[in-house]
Amino acid sequence: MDRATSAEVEVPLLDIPTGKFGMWVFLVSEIMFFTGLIGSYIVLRLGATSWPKPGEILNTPLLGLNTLVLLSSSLTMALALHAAQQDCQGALKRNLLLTAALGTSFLLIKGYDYVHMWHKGFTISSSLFGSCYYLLTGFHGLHVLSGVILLVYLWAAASRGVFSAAQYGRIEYSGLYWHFIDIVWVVLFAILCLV
Amino acid sequence: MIYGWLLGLTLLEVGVVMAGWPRGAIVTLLMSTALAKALLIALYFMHLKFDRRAVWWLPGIPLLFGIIFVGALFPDVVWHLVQRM
Repeated sequence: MDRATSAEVEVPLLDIPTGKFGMWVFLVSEIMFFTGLIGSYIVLRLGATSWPKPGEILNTPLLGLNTLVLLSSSLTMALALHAAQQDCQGALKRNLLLTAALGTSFLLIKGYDYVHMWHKGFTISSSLFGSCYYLLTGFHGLHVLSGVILLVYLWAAASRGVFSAAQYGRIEYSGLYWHFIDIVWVVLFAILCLV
Repeated sequence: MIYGWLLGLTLLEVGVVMAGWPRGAIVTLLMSTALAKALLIALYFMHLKFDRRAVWWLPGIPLLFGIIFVGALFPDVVWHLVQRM
């Protein structure tokens, strides 16, 4: 299904373009990064003598809404790639912009959540749970921000007519990154905010 | 359709937590739904399902290492839990 575009070379054995392979190698490092953080959280939580119930501190419905926002952004990103493959420039630009908007919404909701929690006294230094929560979600938020910046760049490039059915590699590779940070949030939401 | 599944699983997760199910059931369900959602995104949105199986090793190897590294600490965690009993 994945074909190297006219300017790309395929990696032997994997049969994927070198650009896609490069993005996967980057994601491998990101997987190690988040696995280290999440693994540390799991060990700390299991080893703690007591741990507060997340539902008593966090705004579960708001975080659930944020999860739906990020899942929706994954859908629009997938639609953007499909539009690029079909050479539908209008749909491509529209879906890239929607994805960036949804990512921004995620960050704004997260910001509101942080301020609200801060006022309630739940801070990065108030407890071990607080440290874990802000560290994990903060790093994830930085990744989302990077993704939003990347999407705005892609939208600007799409507006100049850079992408076509024969040239959509950057859309695909950026999509891999975006879906990855969605997966990270899916895991964080379950183990940090619900359990 | 995949998006529908993701939405449904998320609503299920929030629903069971707010409904106050027994803790054991919640943990089991949440781990299962998180894994299912992650797999759906990886297979369909990231197109792993349509790539060669060899590509699966790229995310698979670091995940395996992560499980090994965390698992290596579990004897220490269990030891401290037993000490506290």
